[in-house]
Amino acid sequence: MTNPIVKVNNLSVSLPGGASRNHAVHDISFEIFPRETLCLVGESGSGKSVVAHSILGLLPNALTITTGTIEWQGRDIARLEDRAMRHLRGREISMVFQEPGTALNPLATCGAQVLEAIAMHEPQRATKDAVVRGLTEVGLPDPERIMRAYPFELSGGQRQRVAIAMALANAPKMIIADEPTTALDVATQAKILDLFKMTQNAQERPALLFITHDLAVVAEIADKVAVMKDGRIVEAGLAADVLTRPQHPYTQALCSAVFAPPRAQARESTVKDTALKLSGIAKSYRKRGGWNRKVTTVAALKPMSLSIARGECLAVVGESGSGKSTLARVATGLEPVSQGVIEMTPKAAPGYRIMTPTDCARHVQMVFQDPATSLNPRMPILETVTRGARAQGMARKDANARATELMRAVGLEPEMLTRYPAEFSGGQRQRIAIARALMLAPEILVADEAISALDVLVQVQVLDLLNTLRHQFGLTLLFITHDLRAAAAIADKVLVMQTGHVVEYGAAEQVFENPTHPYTKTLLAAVPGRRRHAQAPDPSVSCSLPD
Amino acid sequence: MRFLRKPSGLIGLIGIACLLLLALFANILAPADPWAIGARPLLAPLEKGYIFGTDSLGRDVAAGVIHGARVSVFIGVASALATGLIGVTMGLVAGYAGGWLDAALTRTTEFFQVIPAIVLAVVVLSFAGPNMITIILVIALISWPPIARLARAETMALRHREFVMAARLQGESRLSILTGHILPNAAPPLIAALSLSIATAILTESALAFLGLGDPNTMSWGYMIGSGRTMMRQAWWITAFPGVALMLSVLCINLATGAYSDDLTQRLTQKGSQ
Repeated sequence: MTNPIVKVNNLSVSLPGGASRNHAVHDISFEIFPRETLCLVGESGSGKSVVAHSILGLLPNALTITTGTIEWQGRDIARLEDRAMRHLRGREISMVFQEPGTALNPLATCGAQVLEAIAMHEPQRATKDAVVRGLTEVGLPDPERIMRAYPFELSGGQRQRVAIAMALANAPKMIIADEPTTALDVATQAKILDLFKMTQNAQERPALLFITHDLAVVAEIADKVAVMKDGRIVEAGLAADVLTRPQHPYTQALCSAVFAPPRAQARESTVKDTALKLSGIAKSYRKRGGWNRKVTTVAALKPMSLSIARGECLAVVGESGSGKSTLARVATGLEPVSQGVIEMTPKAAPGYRIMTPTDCARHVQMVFQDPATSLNPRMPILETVTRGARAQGMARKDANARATELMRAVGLEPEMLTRYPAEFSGGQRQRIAIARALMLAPEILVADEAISALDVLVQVQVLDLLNTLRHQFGLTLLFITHDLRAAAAIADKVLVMQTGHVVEYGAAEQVFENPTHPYTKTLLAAVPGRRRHAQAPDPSVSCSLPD
Repeated sequence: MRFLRKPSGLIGLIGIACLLLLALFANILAPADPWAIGARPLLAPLEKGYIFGTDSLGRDVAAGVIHGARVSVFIGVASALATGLIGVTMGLVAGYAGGWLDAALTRTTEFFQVIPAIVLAVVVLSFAGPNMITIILVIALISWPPIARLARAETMALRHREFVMAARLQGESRLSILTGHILPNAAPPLIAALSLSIATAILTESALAFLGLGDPNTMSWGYMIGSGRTMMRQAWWITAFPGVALMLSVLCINLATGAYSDDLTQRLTQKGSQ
């Protein structure tokens, strides 16, 4: 029996006074053996990143390790001084961060950054060949070109590969990966996970501490898993055991939230009139030219036509850059279309055509992605919710009454209306944003990635809420998401978009059960967690996508 | 008021309090008219009970310094308010409107920035005639461009935020969005910049008075320095005391605003990292 490479014993890290709890992490113990993958799972604020940072001595000054030890190959490194710690960092333990766009230095070429990672510890090995080898290892095509490229010239997935190449550069004994796939598209996420799995299959593979909020990702790569909640490990064990037979109620809730495969039920289609009709709409942006550059136009949305029936939920699915958010912005009138016509049919006046922002405000409302930024931080909730209605001429008394009513409808207490956004959790804020959107009794609600900034369990709740409100208020819902599981849970119809084109459109069960377009198949195959159970995707398809 | 915990913030605020007290109780502290000729000219400090001495006409320098504080505080605050009014309005409109209006307003701002400020002030004052109101307006005229640029930058950063888009979607008017959503969120850095411009305004007024373009009816520090400069070798106290008062006031305002804006950035970055 080998010794664990890292052993964390009863680690507690205290938070500064005035925080919501005393400890960022409390009495955490786990061990990782060589060549093993441990996944730390938990929602935001559960303390999982604090664990990772305390291993590498990267804790911010406000946080201190109060008790416990971190044994690295038998030696306690919990209170190691910086100089000795530097010796470990990058050589023995390296780290991959969440956001590859900010983890790389924007002013240095990728090659220089990988070279620096090597030169820091083994100057004699820092050659161009070593860099090329490193970049090849992480599956980057044309490493010679990537070497000379600056981070902004690469896609998100390519950047993350460069970051992984830097982490692997000195053949570390352990890699800590903090949500390395969260900022990436579904298909890219699948490829980066494959890359991690590949390095885990290599002969001299490092141990991996993988931090994620996504149990489906855990199912893909973990040997062992530890579930964290409020700074404590509530359940730990072999991944297969924990995921199939979760013991703790919190883990059970997480599992049931995640492992519903994207499979829509057939829903009865009652014939309804059209609520929103988009005829031949397209949107292109003009890129300003500099003194030596031409003005270029970028087509964000290629000509498309679409009609949504009243009371229907249409999910628009695609990766970032597919044009789905542009569709939301033109459908709500936030931006004018470059060509084509948007028509809507209010119940009161059939055959109406959207002309003015006032019409949009009356009939089309939107719920934004990030509730942290979609509520004015310096305005009490009541003002935020009622301001628009009063701008439309509603009396203050009526507006306040309706706000009270809507707060109940979205599952919040009306007394909370006097508070400011900072006093609410992410899920509560999104409920407030939904209440605001419903204030003017719109007929069409556009939800642009409305749940993707939320924690897994909260996602389920907000999705349920949207579904309930949709029936309660007779809303037509345009649900824009990159998350196929969420789309499957709520949608009647699905529209799949890629680089501004509509590639597939149909009833939800049709699209999810029998996708016809190769891109849809790739997307479905890339849903994490599904791959472990389902057949491996057709390789010719999964390779056809750019990274 | 966390910035009071820093020594620089505390010292600055105590200094500002002293300045305000001087201005407020000038008539009690120095009941005599600062223009009145009360004693023999050029008395040295502490001679015959004149702690700061007298100037070439026999006027009490201490009374001048005390009454000068009143002028400085009034000019500083009033011109900072006028500066804010012009600068913030221009910046908000330019930043939110974009397009040709932004281009026009920005060019106007730049036009004012490329003219040497003091030259512009001297020219305008020579035509308009120096009095309290024209001096305040001239100071506002030469100091609004940086405020406008800051307000414009803040507005541009805020106008694509989701809560502003949500307000647009709700059919709020532009004025309502600017005053209700953008201004409150852009306010902290603007307040920091404007309180700093109080110090600049005091300096500018003194410079103008030194050049002989001050309000002839008000005893200001700049006027005292200007009128005493020819006697600098014989009677250092005529220029030194108002000079020290000027320096201390500006220093304290800078210390306090510096500590305040440090505190502000710290709070904002903490909020961002959560």
